[in-house]
Amino acid sequence: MKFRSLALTLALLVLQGCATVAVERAKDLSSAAIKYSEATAAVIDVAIDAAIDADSEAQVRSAPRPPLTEVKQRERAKALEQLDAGLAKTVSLYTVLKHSVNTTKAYFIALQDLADGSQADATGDAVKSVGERVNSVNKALQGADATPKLSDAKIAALGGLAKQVAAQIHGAKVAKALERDAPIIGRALVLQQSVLRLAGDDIRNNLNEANNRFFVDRVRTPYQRGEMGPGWANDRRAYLKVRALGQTETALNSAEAAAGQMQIVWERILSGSSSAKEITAMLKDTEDLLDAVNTLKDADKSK
Amino acid sequence: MATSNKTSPGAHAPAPQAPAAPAGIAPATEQLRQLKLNLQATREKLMLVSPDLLNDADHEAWGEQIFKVSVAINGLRNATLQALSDEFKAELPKFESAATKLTDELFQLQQAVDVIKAVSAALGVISKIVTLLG
Repeated sequence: MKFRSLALTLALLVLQGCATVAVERAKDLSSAAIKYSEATAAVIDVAIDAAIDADSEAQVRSAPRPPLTEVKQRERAKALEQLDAGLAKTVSLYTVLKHSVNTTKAYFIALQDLADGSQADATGDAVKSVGERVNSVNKALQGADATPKLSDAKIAALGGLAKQVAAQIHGAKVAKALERDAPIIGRALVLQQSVLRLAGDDIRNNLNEANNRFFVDRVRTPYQRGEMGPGWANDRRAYLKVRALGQTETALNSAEAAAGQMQIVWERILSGSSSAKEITAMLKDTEDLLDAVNTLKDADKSK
Repeated sequence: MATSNKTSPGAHAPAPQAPAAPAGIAPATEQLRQLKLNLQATREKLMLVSPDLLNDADHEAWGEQIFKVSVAINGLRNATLQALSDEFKAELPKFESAATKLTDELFQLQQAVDVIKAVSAALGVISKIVTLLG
């Protein structure tokens, strides 16, 4: 009997530790992935504007010299229609992709809800309440002088144990979900990364074109003509910095940072390695479970 | 080409290195993207032309080049976005079904507590009835 209790306790300890790590991982992953989805959606909005602006500015830049014949004007109207049709389709496709990104966000919100949805406290309280009601029924049946079936200490210990078991069940469910959904999560991340890359291309292109026009108008042409005003040095510095840094878009940088954080968490999950934080959490829960088992034993002894 | 004697090719090549394709993305999508990047780099260079320095014929040819490149960029961008959108669309039912499963699992956990609470409530009612009968 003693051996069986010990085996049960050890099994609970092992399961409890693994389960808690899974919960921590799911919390890390879901919160990073939600940020990633939000950043990707924000980048899509910036990319839509960038694609339209780059096209428009190129048209402004290359506007024909007047006067324009009627035939030429009709041709230009058709040309604008052609460009508009292409850009309208771009807006529509980016919007569809944004919807898809939001669908993956909904998955990670559900994962976060499950990870945060431990019923351990509620279960502990509910079991304690059952214990108290058992005593209350006993009192009603045998009279006010009847000895309680369960001592206060035992009720508290049962509640504590129930709490730990519920936490373990919750962790096991999260661990199973992570294992089951691993391919889906991986796929979601790859697809979002691709959306980010395509959107990033359009944002970078718009920046580069704007920077090139700035260079021609404010740096090269005044230099060629020997007409550098007081702002020329500043303009040149601004151009060179953008040219060297390539990308300065805040939304793009924040999305890439979120992607990096999330990928680290995901790699850790796939590799099965544990961080110090996870190990500490595992040990803390192990101690809590041991305490709960010991409290129950003590309550049994004192009865 | 209108730009040939007006710019210094390479001197102002501003396009930063585009990130590599993530694993699992169709090669055709990546090829379309690379084509679009090349055309975008071309338009970036066309923006280095000083319009004021062009004669009328060169200016018209330059404007025509910008228009054609812009149409091609839009077409390639749409083809790339469509391809990626199709890939995403094929996976959406899986994401939705997985999210539903997670919600169901959370509901099951909450339901288990509700059952214990119901037992506790039933015991409370029993004790009241017994007290009343006594």
